[in-house]
Amino acid sequence: MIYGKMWTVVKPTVGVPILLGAVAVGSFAVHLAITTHTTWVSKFLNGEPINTASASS
Amino acid sequence: MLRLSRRLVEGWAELGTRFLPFADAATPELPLSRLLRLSLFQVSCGMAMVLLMGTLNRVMIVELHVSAALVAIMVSLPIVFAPLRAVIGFKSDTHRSALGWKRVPFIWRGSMVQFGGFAVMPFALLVLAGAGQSAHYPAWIGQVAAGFAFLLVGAGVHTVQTVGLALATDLVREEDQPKVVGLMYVMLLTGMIVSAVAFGLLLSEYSPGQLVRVIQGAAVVTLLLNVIAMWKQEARDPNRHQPRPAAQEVEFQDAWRLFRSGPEAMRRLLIVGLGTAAFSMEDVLLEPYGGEILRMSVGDTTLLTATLSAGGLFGFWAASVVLGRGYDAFRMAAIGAMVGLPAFALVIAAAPLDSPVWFGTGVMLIGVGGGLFGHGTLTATMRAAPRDQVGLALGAWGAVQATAAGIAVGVGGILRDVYAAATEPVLGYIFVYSLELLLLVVTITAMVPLVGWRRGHATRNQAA
Amino acid sequence: MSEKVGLTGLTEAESEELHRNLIQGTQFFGMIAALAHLLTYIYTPWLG
Repeated sequence: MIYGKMWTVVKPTVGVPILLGAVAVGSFAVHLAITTHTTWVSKFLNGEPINTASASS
Repeated sequence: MLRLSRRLVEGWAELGTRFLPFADAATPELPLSRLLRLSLFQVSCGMAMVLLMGTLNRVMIVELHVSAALVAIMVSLPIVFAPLRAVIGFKSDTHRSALGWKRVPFIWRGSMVQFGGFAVMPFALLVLAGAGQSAHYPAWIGQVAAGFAFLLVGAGVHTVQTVGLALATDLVREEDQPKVVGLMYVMLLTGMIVSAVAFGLLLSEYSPGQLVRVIQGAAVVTLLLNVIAMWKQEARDPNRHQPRPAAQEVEFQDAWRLFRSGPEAMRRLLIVGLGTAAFSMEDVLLEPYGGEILRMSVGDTTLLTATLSAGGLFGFWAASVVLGRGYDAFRMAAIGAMVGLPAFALVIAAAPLDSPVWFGTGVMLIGVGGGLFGHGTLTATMRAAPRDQVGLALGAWGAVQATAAGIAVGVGGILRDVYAAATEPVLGYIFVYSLELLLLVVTITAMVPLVGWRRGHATRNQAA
Repeated sequence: MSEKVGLTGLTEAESEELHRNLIQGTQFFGMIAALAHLLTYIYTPWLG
């Protein structure tokens, strides 16, 4: 596998948390940004019924 | 101040071991904290089972208005993977790894799969229900997606549980196995009870957003619990990284043949299946029986679940204590099956006598019997498993157990409906309970040659 | 097989195996995420 030997140089105890953390923090940050900068996610999460009529237009 | 806090901590630790059942499961090599940590994977399995069988079952029908037949199909999908537990266990027995691990990679992958299933599940369910815009799309998208999500969760639970139990067996000495089995069962039950209450509270005010949060929260909790559980548990075995020459590569069929050739291996599996079926068929029938036939209130029927769990806990505890002293595990399972006989008799008698007390007593005894039986068969499986076939043996046990339980619950419900429709409601229940009695009798009969009651104690001990 | 030990104390084979697991895990995670987002879109285009 490409780059498969990188862990002979990078310590897994350092590299693995960085990799997994980057994925976790990255996806969390995107969702957080959407929640804080738009209104529809928090509306949805607060249990307001979604508007089926207007969304289809 | 410091001294006070230290004394508090010491007192707390002592209190922990004194009041915690199975505290003596710890050995010098394997402290209690590590065992408790390992058993967290059972909590995540219990949580997944409650979510699939209980919470989502209800949410799909009540809140999402999915047809009952479709719900039944979805919920029973994970059973499809149950027989594969034997293969999963075998794979982990023979896993080749440069890192020297055989159990950790499987628990990791199983957790990932379970996590993935939960991650897509809420949206799949909403699409399945045709909510929002999804009605504009063909129905099969929702069905396929929901089925896929249920399959993923099922595959994850089967993998994690099989390999997790195998890891636990690897780690403890043989004389400590009964206590570990007890601990594992208790943690499974704990996970089920705690998450049932938690899901009930969290979803008491339903909204699609809340459903998404709860299920995806369960996904994250699963991953966290399983990672904590397996963290640094398995020692790396340097012998594992030499790849075997192809000629020595073990095939599943060969391993299975070897396993079958063990003493009465197939009879043991048959007994596990029959007994499990006998103890699970009433699972979804107890509460409606109490409500419909004995006219118990909703609160009282909910108490039944607690009664059953309490009986089960007592069974696990008693079995752990007795088996820990070296008592024959299969004999313990036979005693469990025998406790089931008066238990179901009491449950049946409760209808003509119109006595909720008899019913409650019977339910508790079912719990005790089921606990003794489950503990006995699992401990027997662990004890009988050859060191290099632990995964396969536990996988086979789990495969039979999970398949039998799943089929029995389904068949029990169907039989009740069919028989009640043909005659009257009471007889539908009584028919199923009588069938369970019959199954128990067959189970006990099949066990006679194994427990050696005919030949007496002395000859058996020599044979063992 | 090569028993070359790198700077981190891992052999090449160990490194490869670790990497394979990580990459496969990430791929699986990505596919699940894509599927979940697709289903969300079908449910309602971005929760509108």
